[in-house]
Amino acid sequence: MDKKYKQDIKYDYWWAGMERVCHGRMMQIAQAAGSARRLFEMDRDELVLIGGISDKYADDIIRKRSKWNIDEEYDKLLETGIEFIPFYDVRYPKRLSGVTGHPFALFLLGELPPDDKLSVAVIGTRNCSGYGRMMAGRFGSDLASYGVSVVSGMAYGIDGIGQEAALNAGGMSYAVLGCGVNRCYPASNKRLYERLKAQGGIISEYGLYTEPAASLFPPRNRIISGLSDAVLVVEAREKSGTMITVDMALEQGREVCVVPGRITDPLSTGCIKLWKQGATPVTCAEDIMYMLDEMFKINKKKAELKTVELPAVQKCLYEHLEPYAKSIGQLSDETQTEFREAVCALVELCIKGLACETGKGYYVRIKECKAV
Amino acid sequence: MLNSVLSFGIRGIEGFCVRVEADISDGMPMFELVGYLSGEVREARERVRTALKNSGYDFPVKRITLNLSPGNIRKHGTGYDLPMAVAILAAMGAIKNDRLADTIILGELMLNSDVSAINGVLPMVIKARSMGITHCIVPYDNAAEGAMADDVTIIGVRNLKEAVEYLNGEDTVRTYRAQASAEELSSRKGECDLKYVKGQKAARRGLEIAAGGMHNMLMIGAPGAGKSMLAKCIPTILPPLEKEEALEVSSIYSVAGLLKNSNCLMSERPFVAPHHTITDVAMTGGGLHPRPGSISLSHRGVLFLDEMAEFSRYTLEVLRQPLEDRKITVARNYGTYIYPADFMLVGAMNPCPCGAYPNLSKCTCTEPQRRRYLNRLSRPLLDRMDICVDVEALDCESMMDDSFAESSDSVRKRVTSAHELQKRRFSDTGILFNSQMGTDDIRKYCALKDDVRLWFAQVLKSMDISARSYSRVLKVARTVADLDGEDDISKEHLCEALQLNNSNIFG
Repeated sequence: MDKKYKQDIKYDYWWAGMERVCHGRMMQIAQAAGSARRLFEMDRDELVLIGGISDKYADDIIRKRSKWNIDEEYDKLLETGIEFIPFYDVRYPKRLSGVTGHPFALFLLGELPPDDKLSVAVIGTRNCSGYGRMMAGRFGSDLASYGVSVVSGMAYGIDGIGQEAALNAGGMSYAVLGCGVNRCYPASNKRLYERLKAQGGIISEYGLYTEPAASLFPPRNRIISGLSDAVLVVEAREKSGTMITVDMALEQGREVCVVPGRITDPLSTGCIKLWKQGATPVTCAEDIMYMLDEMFKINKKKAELKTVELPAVQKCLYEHLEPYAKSIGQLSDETQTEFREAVCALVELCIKGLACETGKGYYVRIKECKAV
Repeated sequence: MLNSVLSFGIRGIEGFCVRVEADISDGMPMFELVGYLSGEVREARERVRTALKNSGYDFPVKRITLNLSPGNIRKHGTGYDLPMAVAILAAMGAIKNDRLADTIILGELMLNSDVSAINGVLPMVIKARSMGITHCIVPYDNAAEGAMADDVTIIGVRNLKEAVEYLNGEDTVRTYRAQASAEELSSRKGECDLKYVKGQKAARRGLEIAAGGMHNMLMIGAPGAGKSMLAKCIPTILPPLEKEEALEVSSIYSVAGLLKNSNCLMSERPFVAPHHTITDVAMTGGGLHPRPGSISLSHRGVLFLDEMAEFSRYTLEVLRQPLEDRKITVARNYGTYIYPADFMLVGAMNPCPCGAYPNLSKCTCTEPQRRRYLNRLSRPLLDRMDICVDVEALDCESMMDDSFAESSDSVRKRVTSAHELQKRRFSDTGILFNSQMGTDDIRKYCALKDDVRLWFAQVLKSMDISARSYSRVLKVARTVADLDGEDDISKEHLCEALQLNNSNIFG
């Protein structure tokens, strides 16, 4: 039995690599044929009889398998240290196996989110505002500090920021990629990618060396929502990949929460729309915990804002700073501070980690504190 | 009969003495030119022959040989026509020899024997003066230009006849002496002035500090925010050129044929704004007959690169060496030329391809697009930009505001006194401005007091500042202190310098 399993998994590995060709019908086809091994051994006439396999597709299968050495390829996989987890594997996430259209198999670097711990997807736009940056960071780190796994797509903007914050808070985070797990996309998130390997996991349903492509991202979003108990939308435009994830989450029966933004802000239109449709607005990680976890004791005191002592000018400027970028000129006008004084105060605030320069000469508040 | 006259050529932006020798001997009638000549110099044969005929001389039906010595330096340009004609006349015995020895002759001939203007008269005259020559015959149109150099008598001639008359001792031709006066040096056209720049506190302050230490500057701002206008104001807040500098700059423009007002020295600092399609050769100087490029034309002034991210990467990278050396060495087929290039680099660019960042409700660019755009400026080049400022788009209130802001003249006063401070400080170091300080100078002149030092050490730790940014911040802080007229660099000076640092333009 064990030996047979070992042999079969090699065929499953071959079949999992076919994802790019059959777009989500992998499970169906494999079940119709009986097993991946049958698909490998069938001749062309038998293949085309299976529902969902067209002539062209049958040719693709035959071409692909003729070049595929079952034993050699599987050994190569083992050498990379990347784990291959087909749907029947005990490690296959329970949350995901309950989802219709769940992936045939997962490729994994690191670990999978544990089934017995809460997990929340923090998602949003790539091109986020300072406000989004701040919120993603805050929710990521607070959720992690409650022991929640943060799942996301490791993209620029909200995704990456939320995950990075979770890691910084000492929590676990998991990234689902739209390419092979051994490919870091986007490349500039290399540092996050390396950290996730050790402090969480990198997950994908696509075979090794699969290059990122636009068509691969919407399907991977169903895994993000599938692996989570709730989806938190931090900042999103009305038409965006984030909204696809939300649709998937609703189909899968996951909770959807949104971070409210200004109604005039294009980056918040998505959140506001979801809110109107019934998503839960949340203002802190505790809101999410309360919703998800019956056992969560709300009488656990909400963390109070830290107080910092600031000189008068700095305090005044700090209070006028917002999560939205403001220029030095604007700030010095608003606070009626002399320009040079304002510059000095802002630099000092940056040094103290309370503010940050997002574009040349533009500042945002990055940490909520009570200034005294 | 053999005879020779002195003339001058240009190599780089320096003149070199050329001896034009003419020999007329019996033999087959012919007119031969030798001496490593380029095409336009060879063509002088026809111009000289016809001009001689048209001013009433019989062109000798003999074997005429002209040699331009030294024979190992390529000669180009049309300034040798007149000396050739004079040399032939001298060899014919039509000109007395006594004035020839201490006179150089420059000028292009027309067929009717009129003398027309040439490029590079000023540097040639300056060089001739340093060689002890006291008289220069130049085209009439170049006479005022030549007269900018002191201690030389300039004889401006309209045609060949006048040159001959002067050389033969008839004083019918007017001579010129140096006349550039102090008023002319300080006069300034008032097209651009900071008083017309509305709002823009950050940019104005950045401009003042950049000018105060001649720091290179990068302006980032939305399209139409006024980056170009601000840049054009920089020459108006820099102190005017001093006499020696003015001679140097005027010489470069003279060589390039760009000396617009030939009556007086250039007093305003040059402002050169090449289009972003400029080639690297046009930027550095060069070409078949090398001429100064944009970086040399902006010597002692401002080189403004608008839409800096649109320049080809290669064109920008060639700026790196001159920014360090303050001169450029151009090697070409016919020799190696050195052009001065001590300029202040001012760049302007948008914060992202659409220009609206960091206003995220307007900006449509994605993060990678923005990064790619900013990455068009290489790190080494950014490292040479001491100051980076944001130029805000104007709001309606400031646009409608008709009052004047502080004028260029009053800013210039502060800048000038900062420059003087620096001149005194660096009097024996060979540099002029804070921006040129090396590691040793920084250690010596940017020493921090103990409490400031302690504070700065903490800042460096928390802000993750590289070694390069570190020295940049110190240099700029030095300038800020100079503008305040203070000896010690304080916390406030460092804060301002930190804010102007460009290490976080990626946000």
